[in-house]
Amino acid sequence: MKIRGERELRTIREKGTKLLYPSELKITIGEASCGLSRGARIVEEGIREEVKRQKPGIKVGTVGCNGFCSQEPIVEVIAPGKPKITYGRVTRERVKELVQAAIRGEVVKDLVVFRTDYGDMLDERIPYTEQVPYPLKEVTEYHTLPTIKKQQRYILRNSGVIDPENIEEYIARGGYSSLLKALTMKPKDIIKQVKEAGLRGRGGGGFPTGIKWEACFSAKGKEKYIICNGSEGEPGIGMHRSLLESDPHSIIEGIIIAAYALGAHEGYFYIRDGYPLAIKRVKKAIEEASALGLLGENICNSAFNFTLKVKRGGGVFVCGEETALIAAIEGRVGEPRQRPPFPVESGLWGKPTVINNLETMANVPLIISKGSEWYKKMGSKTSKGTKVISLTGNIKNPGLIEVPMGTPLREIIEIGGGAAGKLKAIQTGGPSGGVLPASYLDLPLGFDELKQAGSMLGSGGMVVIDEGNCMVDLTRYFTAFFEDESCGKCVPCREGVTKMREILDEIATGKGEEGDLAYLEHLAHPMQDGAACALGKTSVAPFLSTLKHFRKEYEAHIKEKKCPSGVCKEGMMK
Amino acid sequence: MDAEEKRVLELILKKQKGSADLLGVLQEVEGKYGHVTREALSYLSEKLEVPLSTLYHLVTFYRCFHLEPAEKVVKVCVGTTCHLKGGKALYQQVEGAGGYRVEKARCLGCCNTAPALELDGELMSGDAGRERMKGAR
Repeated sequence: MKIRGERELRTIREKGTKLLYPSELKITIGEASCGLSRGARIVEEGIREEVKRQKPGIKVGTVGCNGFCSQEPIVEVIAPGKPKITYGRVTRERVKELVQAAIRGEVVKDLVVFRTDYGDMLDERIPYTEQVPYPLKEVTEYHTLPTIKKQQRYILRNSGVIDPENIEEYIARGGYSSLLKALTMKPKDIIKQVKEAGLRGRGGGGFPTGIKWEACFSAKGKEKYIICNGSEGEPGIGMHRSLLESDPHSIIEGIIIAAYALGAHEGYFYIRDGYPLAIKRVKKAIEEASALGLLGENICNSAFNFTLKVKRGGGVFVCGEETALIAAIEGRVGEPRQRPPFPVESGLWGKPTVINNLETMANVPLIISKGSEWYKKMGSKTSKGTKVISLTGNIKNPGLIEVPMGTPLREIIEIGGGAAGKLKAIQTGGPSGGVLPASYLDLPLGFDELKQAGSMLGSGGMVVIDEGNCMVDLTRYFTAFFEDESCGKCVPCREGVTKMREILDEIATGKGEEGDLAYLEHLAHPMQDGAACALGKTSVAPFLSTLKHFRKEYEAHIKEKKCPSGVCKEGMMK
Repeated sequence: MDAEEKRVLELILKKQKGSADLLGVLQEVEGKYGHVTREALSYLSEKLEVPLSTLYHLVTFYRCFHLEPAEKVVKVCVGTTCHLKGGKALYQQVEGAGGYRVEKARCLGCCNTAPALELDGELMSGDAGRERMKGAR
């Protein structure tokens, strides 16, 4: 069947709703990377065996990541007329008991994390149970959890709820209705909406998406391309992997809308190498969307044609940079080139090209569905909408969260249950970002807010650092990362980063000398000014920001040969 | 290069329809064998009419390629969270294990399991991985 309009979409929505709200017992297992790394597949096999033994016919399915990564492996039980029950830290040994309880309509109390009384669609709530409030009082309801109350999950609304390999479930949650709406709009009006919404690029740069689109729209040439950047190469951030694995359609829907607005007929979904499951799920999603006529020729009977191809990355960090990414898609060595010309004028194969991060794309259907007025109500003065944050490091409950821009950093840490030890700093924006000491916790989340404080929002990784971590060691680690990933094309980056890492090595091993810090600063500024691309320019950020806030720690290493947090041992006094 | 490998390479070229997508062709070869041999590069260079040096440049620039075969692969995550939680020590322990090609991964995307590793395509915690590797030897 091809979707030609509302009628077909509604038919599929009804089918999908039956899968999400089944008339028979259904058990799902969270199988994104966070779950799989904790043995979700073993639990799934166990559940299938037990179901076969105890009551064949119970549906067993998989979903993505619901954000509670610290509770993995997660299993959910959906029984008709009852709230959805979410279990955490399920082991193979507990599976038998869990399946038994599900069949009897009971709950395994010590494994329960929460219950969910209703599911949130974009515009409505669909209850799992008619009995609200449900008498199962000893189990907290999902929406009343303090960690959920502080969040606004729009981009992550489907993550962990739907089967990422089933388009019907995505459509049941309101998926692809924004595309239908967009196809009735004039391309110019779509761009206007995105511009008015104030959407800024979620890859790190924070460039206004609408302005980028406008520039590409008015660029000369009939052939235009759209590229979705899924090359998250920064260490310490898993949120884009998770979104790709949990809800690929939300990104694809955004890409199709963007393509229609720009008049692009061909697009590429560039996904980082080393994310095989993400690649598999995106490919499946593209196949499913194509089969329903949401991709390909004459999309939804609108005479608009668009094909989307998956392109696997080569495992190189610099390929997240726009011009290097284009080189990689063209099959060349991924070295950045000088800009201008910008890709919006001369990009892929010399044609006007828009490159947007995958989270940016996932914001597009939201803006189209709810309108720019609604969208820009969320956020800070200059950063609108929500931001997905990967909360990791020394935090009690690492996980994937989504908060409105403008949320104070303190609240974000609270959502994760606080730091594991005494909070020392937050590292944001990946290696290109910086660290903010604990005294900056009242800072609101936003592109400009974090930049002014000397860090960066980046793509939304937040690593919590406690007193047990050494800033010199961390800086040395990030600088070594840049040394590894520098493509070697321009001198400031290639030579500068190596030199910087060498000196940091000396400082960390007790061989630091007076004057080293001044020398490093002297080295950092020309690198910032002279490197050809963002990788080189920002490679000094970890050093500069840690020096700004933790100079004493550097001095202790150099003058007293002491590592205050006890991390650096070689060459240090005890 | 044996006849079988030649046949596979021909198939890959046919599938790619002689397109200029060198990276895609090389990725197919890597995906199939886990490495790209000198012979394969020479063969592709001739068939695609691309200098051998261009292909060599690509396979040595992009980390997804390997010139040497490996039966077993372990990728140790050296992402930020894993670094904070002992990823460096894990890497050193695994490196000395022998019998495996040990690679560094820049964030495997499962920070909740830090320090994490990927053993023959399966994600797991460092502890679980080391147990598994012990058993395999």
